[in-house]
Amino acid sequence: MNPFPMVRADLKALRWLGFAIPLLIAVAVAMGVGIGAQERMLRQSSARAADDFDLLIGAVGSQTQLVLTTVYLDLEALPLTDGSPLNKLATDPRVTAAAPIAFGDVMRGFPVVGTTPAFASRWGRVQAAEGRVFKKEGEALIGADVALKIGDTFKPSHATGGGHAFQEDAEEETRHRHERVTYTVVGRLPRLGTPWDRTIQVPVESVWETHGLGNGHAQDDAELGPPFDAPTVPGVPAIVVKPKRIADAYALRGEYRQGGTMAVFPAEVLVSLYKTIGDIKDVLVASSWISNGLIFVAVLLLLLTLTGLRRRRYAVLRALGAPAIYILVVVWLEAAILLAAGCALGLLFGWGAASIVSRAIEAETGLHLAFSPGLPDMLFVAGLIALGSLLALVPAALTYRLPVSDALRG
Amino acid sequence: MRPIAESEFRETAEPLALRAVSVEVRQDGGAPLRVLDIPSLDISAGARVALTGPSGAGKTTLLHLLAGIGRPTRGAIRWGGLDLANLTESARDRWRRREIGLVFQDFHLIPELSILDNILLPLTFGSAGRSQNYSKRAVALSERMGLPDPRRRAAVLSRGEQQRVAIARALLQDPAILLADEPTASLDATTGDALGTLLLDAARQRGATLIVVTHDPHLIARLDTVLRIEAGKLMETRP
Repeated sequence: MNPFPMVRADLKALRWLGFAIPLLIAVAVAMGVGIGAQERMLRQSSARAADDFDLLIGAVGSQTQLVLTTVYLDLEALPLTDGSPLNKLATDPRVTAAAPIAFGDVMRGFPVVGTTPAFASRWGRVQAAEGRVFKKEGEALIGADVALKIGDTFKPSHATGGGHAFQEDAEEETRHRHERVTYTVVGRLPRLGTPWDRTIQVPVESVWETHGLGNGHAQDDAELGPPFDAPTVPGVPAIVVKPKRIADAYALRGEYRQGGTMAVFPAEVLVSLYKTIGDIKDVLVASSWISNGLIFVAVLLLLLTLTGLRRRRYAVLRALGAPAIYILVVVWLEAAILLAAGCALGLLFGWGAASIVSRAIEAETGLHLAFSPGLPDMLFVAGLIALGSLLALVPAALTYRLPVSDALRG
Repeated sequence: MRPIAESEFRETAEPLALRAVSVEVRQDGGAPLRVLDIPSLDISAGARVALTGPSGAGKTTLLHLLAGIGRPTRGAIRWGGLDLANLTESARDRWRRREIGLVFQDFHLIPELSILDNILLPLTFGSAGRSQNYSKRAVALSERMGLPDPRRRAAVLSRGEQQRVAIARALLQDPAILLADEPTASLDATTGDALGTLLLDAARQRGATLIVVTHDPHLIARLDTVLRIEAGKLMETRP
């Protein structure tokens, strides 16, 4: 038995419907795939962005905001801690390194972030792609996406836009420019795939001095980075800590959750955020299942109608000697091919949509959402194809007991 | 045009015999209505028979019985040693595929397929499949029927050409019985005559039994036997 010539003929006979049906299914399936893929990319990329931020310490406030501001540069004002934790951490045997993070300035929309040379090179994990890491005050290390080049100089402006720091606002920046401060770009980092690709990293001492807060050291000409001088350190919004061991990380988190400070693992906050995102995703996926179901039912009704219209055609085949199972296989294959084509197309559309949305998110936040075809998407679509194949049996079964003689008479 | 070699035709043919055959239908749950009642009918192997009578008399019902498409309510339809009325549906499908060639009034080609694929279509129903031999035979039949390029789609053919394809499809497996339901009814007189000749020649060359439901007096005149059916009963026959 070879049903394919008839299947091909039936599909050809559908004309534009043969394209419209898979397209309709594809749009419905793409919603589910796109949502799933987007959420997965967001999880992977946000987790990767937090890789270098083992433990964050800040003044008591919102843990979520501390993580969002420090890791994802959602630049909202954070409460400040004094210099004592910074000093204690510098000598703590459980700590490999600790670095203050200071925000407050922008340059053409790019945040100017003060930190130590060690953290700027991610504790030695990252080398400058061009030039070098800053070594003294007045030098700047730019992220991969910053529109400057080595040797360029710039004057930072005081950021007033909070979360809008990425949006260039020349007039606003000019009004708040620190005219007496000039930075020279000495290096560019490779792409990290995080919002930090849009930052200009400078010595934290420079940021403090720019705002007239001293340099955080006992002497004016001290070397950059720790140890800092606690009494002279101005308020610090966040301290990134690299503990030596996991046990040390938990001990430090416990210790710095009292006395006016809070300590968080970014992963903890992310898990909570993921739960919220996951809940939203679940609702959206459930909605997409409902829409998939409705589309499938609509397509099924359409196929039932078409099968009814082809009653005579199939009766002729039966009269020519085709067994009932042949007709069943032809009708089933035709419906299954349309549904499977729609599902496969939906997978591609979904991935395409997720990829486009990812680029938009990257452009907005700097968070690089690396797209990769995911097994869950393929399983989701395989499940839909299996369900569609089962549903395709309905019109097929209805033709199985076709009364040939009656159908031939029309 | 290449004639089909005699060696390609079947050598055996069987007579058809109907005994006490009746077909009853129930409409809207009412009492059974007898639409066909044939006490006895014998059609010898290789006979060329016209089935005629008014519309709704039971001609097509009888044709469907002879093709094994339907089953009588009562009675026996014997083809050689086989009683079609006792066969299962799938056995009748197999028998029909092997022994029957059917031609319809409206041709019933698959317009999306080529001439060749339409002729070869019945081969896709069974396990034998399309062999090289059958493909060659289909091309030869197509030529014999005076059809254009066999790769052309059936949808673009004239009505006369479509009926030729339908006849070629019916002849492909060299059937023992050729059944035609009003094969010339939707054709003009000239084309109808030509088609009638093709059918008669094909049946004679193969030694096949030819049974034609028709109102076409030209075609009736060229057949050996005329069976007239009225109200489900055989009224008269002309040998």
